[in-house]
Amino acid sequence: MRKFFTFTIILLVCFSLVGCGKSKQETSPKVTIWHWMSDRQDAFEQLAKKYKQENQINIKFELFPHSAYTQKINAAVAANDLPDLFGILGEKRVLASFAKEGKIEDLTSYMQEAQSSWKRRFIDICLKVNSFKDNNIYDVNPGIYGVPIDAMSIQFLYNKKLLKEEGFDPNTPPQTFTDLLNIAKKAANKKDVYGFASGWGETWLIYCMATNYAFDIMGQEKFLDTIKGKVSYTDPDWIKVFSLFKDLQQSGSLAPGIITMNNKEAEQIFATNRTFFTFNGSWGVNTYQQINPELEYSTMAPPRANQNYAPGVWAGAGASFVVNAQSKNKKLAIEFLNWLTEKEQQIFLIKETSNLPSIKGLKKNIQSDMKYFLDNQQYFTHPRLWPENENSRVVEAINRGIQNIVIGEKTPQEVAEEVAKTKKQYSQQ
Amino acid sequence: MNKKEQLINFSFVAPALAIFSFFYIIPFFYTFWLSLHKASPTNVLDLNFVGAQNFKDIFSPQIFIVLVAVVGIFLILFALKNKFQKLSLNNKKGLAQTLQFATIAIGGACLIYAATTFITISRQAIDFNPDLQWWNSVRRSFYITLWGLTFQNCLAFILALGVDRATRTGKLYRVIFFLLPVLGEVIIGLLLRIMLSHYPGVFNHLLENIGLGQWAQNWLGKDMALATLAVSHCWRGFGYGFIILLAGLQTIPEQLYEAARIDGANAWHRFTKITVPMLVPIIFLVIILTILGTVQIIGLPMALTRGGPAGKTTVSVLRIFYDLNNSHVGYASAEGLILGLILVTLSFGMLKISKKMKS
Repeated sequence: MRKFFTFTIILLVCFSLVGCGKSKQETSPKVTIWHWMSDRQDAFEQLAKKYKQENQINIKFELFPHSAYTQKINAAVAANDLPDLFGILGEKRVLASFAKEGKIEDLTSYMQEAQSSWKRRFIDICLKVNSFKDNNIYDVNPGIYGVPIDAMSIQFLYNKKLLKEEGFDPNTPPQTFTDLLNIAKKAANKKDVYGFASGWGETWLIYCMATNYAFDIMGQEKFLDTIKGKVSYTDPDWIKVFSLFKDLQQSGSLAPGIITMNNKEAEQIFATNRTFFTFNGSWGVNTYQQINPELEYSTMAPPRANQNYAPGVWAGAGASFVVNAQSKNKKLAIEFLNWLTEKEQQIFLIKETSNLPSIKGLKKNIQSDMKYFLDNQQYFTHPRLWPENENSRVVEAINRGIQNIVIGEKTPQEVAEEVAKTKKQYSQQ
Repeated sequence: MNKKEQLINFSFVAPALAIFSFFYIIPFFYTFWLSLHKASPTNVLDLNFVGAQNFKDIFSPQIFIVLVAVVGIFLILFALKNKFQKLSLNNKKGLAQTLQFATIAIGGACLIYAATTFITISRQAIDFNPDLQWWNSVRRSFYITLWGLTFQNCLAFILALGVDRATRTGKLYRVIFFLLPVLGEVIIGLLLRIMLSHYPGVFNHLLENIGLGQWAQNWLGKDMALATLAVSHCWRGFGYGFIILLAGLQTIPEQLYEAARIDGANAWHRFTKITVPMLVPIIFLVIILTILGTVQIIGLPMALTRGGPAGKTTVSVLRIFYDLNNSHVGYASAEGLILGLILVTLSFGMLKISKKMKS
């Protein structure tokens, strides 16, 4: 009996050791990439196949759910088990943390090889969101730490057909916020049509719109001063920003349930000609085309609430990959990224995934609807370009506060005070 | 028992102990360790030791020192009452005494810490500022738990009583009622979202079509979202309670009912004098499982409302998840520990009540 137990235990140990090891016969992938972009996995796999044929190097794209991706990366950092290439979600300080800890490679020298041919390929703003300047607040060595594989912009969209039906010129979208409200109010004349719909259940879209108007009302400098703590959120300009949402709510033009609506639902409403205006990113084009190829729409600059400053429009890299600084396959990974951002691959990617390219000179290859999202470039900005980002608790308070304004539970003044209190609390810490 | 025998006995427990330590004990202490840290504002990977700061932020320093003082007094009283002698320590008096001194020392340290912090707070005039967002999320979790304990468990009990008597169709009902818990929380959440949200608003259309249009409303709006979430959770979860209660009902010997019938007991008397008393341990088990299962929901609110509108359905675990996503690892760990402590206290309390009722 004892012999039997000993034999069984030895057998089990052997099995587990074999299980832990890697098979030598298996041709292991040379470069492993982690990402969260489920809509791009097929295109990535096709590109990996092509790369293998051209360069005899295996590329393995591993897809993880968006909601669990950050935890997956954090766990890999703790276990020192990061893949060769991966994407980083979140604020610039997260990218900064990886750079500061030496987890990701500074790509500046690679980008500058051959008279900066790789660097010069990119649209400026796409590269900037992954770069750190001298004397940045994160104390990261200046350089380029990520390679953008596509681009995006988040814009106001208007439905040309609905505007025409109400007697407005479909080629002249509203220029001011008051014009927007006046047109949106006309939705009341139509059954099951709303003035404005957006996926405000996903609160970051609220923050995006609020910051666009903060730029418009107070200017970029004052906005950044608020983040630095020099200007309070109870400043009259901030109350004006919050009041815009009150105006939208009072106009009665908001789609019912807008603050629980997710982005996909808002996209469906816009695609089915059920809202005059929406606020969405370039990724929505896919949904619009799938649901209603006949949809007539265009982008417009944020209808101005103030003429003194320029509004903001969030734009930049849609997704970027960073290189694991400790990877043995670092060189191969960088070569692959270089290849991935060449013209041919970029054309394939934008065609397959309906996204904007991260490199210059492909305007003629962009499908017609997508081109609209390259409009209003003079207003392009992105939180990753700002020298400092707001504390996530304060952002949460702004988003929650605006939701409270929209459901009529709080006034802009009350929200401003609450946000200022949160800001004070977290500044002290 | 000699040492060799002890070693052999221990080897039987060792694999289970190793697995338990790896998956429960070590993560627990690691979570506690993390809860004493805070990420640097400019580097989320750089965790700085901040001691009990996260707990102070959650409770507010004032409540925190009261809690520390209470824990200190409790530990000292526990040790002074010589409770360690009652523990089975193979009559090792030395070990019991060491434990007693250590507990008194920890209790004393707690009291000293509370006193020094109290002096610091009173000098600095710190505002009373507990994290209301967190405590509101805990309140919402317990609101849903209340629905679970009442509506969900009553429904499970009534259905279990009905199916217990249904000899022919019992198996079919068991499958039907247990189908919902088998489906994932997220699947149920997404289905309900399609049914209940304003767009496409299947449920409201249904109400209009059957002439109850006046009842149509925004089920996920500010007034109804939390109640909708609670009812959805109960609807999804009653199957668990149903199966456990049904199993409990079927363990009650039929002879008891027959004897009662012969003695002239009516249905109500049989229910109150036989069914309920015999089911008490099972009922308490269902209550504990309901509390543990409901306070920890995350998938359903995430799919149904994402915690909105304006945070009105952000339950405690969802809040922890959002904190983790925003790189507040230490704070989220502290929140997790507090929630765990509340649940452990409640579960032990329920077990104690159950034991008393049984005796």
